[in-house]
Amino acid sequence: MARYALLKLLYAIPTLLAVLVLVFVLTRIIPGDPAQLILGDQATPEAVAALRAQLGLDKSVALQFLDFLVGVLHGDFGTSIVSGQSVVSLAAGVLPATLELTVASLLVGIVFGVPLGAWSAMRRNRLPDIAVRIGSLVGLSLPAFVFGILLLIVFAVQLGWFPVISPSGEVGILERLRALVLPSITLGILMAAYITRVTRSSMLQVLGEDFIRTARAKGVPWWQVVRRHALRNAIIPVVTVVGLYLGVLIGNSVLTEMVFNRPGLGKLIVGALAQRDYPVLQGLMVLYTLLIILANLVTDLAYGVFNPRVRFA
Amino acid sequence: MKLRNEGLSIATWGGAALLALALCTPASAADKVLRVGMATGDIGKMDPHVAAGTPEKALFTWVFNGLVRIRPGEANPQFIEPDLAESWEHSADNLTWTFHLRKGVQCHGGYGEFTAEDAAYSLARAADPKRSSFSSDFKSMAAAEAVDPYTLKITYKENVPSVLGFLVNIQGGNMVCKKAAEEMGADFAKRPIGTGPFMFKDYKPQQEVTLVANPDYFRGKPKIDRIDYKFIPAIASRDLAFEKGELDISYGQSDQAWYDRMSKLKDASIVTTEPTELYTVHLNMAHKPLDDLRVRQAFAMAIPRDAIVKYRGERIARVAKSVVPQGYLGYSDATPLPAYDPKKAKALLKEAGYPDGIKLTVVQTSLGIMRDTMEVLQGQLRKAGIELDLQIVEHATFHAEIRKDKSDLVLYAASRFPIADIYLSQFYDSAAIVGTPTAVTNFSHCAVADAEIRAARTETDPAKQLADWALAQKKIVEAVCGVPVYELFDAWAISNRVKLGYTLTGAPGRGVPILEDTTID
Repeated sequence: MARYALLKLLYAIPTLLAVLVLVFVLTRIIPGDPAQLILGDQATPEAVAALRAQLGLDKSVALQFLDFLVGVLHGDFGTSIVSGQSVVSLAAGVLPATLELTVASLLVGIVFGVPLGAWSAMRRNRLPDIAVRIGSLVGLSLPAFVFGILLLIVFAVQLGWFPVISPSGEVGILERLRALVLPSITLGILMAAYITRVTRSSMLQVLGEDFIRTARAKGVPWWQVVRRHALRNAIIPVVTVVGLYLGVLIGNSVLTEMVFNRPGLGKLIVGALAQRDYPVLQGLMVLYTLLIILANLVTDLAYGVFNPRVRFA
Repeated sequence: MKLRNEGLSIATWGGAALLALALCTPASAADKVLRVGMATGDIGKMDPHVAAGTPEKALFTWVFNGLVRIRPGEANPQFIEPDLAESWEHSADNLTWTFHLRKGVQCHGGYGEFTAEDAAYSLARAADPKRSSFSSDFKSMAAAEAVDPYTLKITYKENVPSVLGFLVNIQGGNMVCKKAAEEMGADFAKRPIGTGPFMFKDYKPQQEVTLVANPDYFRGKPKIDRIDYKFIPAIASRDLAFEKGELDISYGQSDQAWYDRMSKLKDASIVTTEPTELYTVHLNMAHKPLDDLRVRQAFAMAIPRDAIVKYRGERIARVAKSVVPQGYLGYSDATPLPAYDPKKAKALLKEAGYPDGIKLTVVQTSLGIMRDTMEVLQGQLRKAGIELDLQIVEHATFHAEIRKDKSDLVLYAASRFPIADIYLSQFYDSAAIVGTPTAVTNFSHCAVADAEIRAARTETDPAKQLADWALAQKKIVEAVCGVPVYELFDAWAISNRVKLGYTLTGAPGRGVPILEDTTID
């Protein structure tokens, strides 16, 4: 298993390089000059040229790429063109918030998605099933800025249970968790909708298998059949979906981060793109790619935990 | 079903946990903390001579001083009063200015007393294109030197329209402390050091900058202990946070619906401030068919300014009357802008050889109000036979493309220091035409009033200077280099718990001034 994990990580290197080249070239193809954006519209062309030279943007793209690669190999991801902060400190500053939100919304997704999906499958084509199916469709199509704002209006402004904007500064764990509830529900509802649908269809397939009928014929209680035989087998596709959507979740978090004013990787990437902050974009892409690769690896390894039949070669 | 029961119990426990979490409220702090929400995802370089964006400028208002300032709450330079300089005098030819500085002013962070040497250093820094975005404002300055620790002498190569105007505490007029700027180098933009009422304490990416009261502030220690300057890009979130009391001052949206909705809130005041941003359509006279005066006149006559202001909101916007915003020194509306007359516009197009109308290609930013305004204009212009082919791009691309002269017309919104010269020089002097080595923002290739703009810049007789500026505006309006549409105010929501200590009608630094007397209940 360790060898398998190591091999997977090695495969990640070419992926990482490809992503880097793509990001590097794409960001420089789109028009927009960071120096002009920083200095504003009253700056003289002389001042803009001076800043470009200072930022090393007057060099050829190939040379800039080389500089960047050398920097990365030395563990130096550069500094933000816009704020002058180091890319590592910027990313480190927001990474905990992103991980926190991702894990929390994943939990929301699993806690609601798996039982609802299983329940729906067991009551196929009856009222609960129809209700769950409609509910999951709504969950999939609700944009964060609608659902998030609705939650804010009801639970933060009207009832006053949660803060509107996430507190910054030194706050206790309880306060931190409190600020996490609404964002993780907003983002988690999407995850829950996916998981519900996949669990339902997977369960339906498993429930029709011979071994389920055999177990029932042996007189095993229904709830044990469902938990031990059906759900255990049905969970593999769910794990795949969770793994795949973990990446999507990190990307999708931008809107949630905006609505609840949380720091996060998504917001950092979008901001860097708007400002043409090349070093931040490049550094974050490395981190983002690594996170997705790790998420996929964890997913692969999780198969073995849920289903002992899966072995790693 | 057992499973259902299990699911229910998970939901019950989860719900109980959430409720418990919801009901524990945080302890309130004893300090007087002012929480200000700004429309931005993050802050850029916190160097007052570099950053040109509203979020940074607002912060500088609290951290830095100028030699002079505009009376808090006003935006008009007629209210200029002493700040770091207590008094000043100038030579008869206006070319030598002597400023007498306050004694005992302390730089933040223990960087010592602010002296004339710091002031001279600041001005040299602001005038250096390698270190400043505002160097063009100081191009007429010959030297700034410290005569003694409390006397600063500034000499000019030629007469400047408003010497004091460029020395107020915005942009290049902000005074930095020499020792701090030199010692910190690039780090100065991360930990700005000034002399103002509030000192930089902490920055959290994408979240906030924390400022604390400067106990040694020369006007007295501020009554507010701390400012939490929060970055909240989404207007809906800012509004809800303000409504719930998580913000005391919130940057609003220049939109009538926003104004009306927020005005209904109890215990809050909605304030609009000058300087306004003037929305002008610059017509590219180097592109056909806009090289024909009749076509440009037709364009101007096809825009119903009054109707657009009604649409935008009369508490938020006002009708533009000249190519320079109202209230600027040198503003003149003696030459009226072409009146709305779509029939005449059509006739003019026909006369110019376009009986079937014209089609223009427009590079347009996707940014909210700018795009919205352009789409309204597109609908109105169609009635006069002018079709706009809008190529919507994101904002950074827009800025790059319009400087490459790619668009037939450019809708641009700008506010500048309120002196006619700056607006005229940047938008209508031929030296500022985009694509040239001295380019600024002359998108129309206008060159009809160079003589008047340049004469006014160095004119020593105020009456003659005003006459030159009026003539320049007349020529530009008649040549239809640009079509001014409306002026938009900044809008703020301010909790009634906040006592500013002055009446807020203008904020030249784009942020609400927080003074030593400002307090919060």
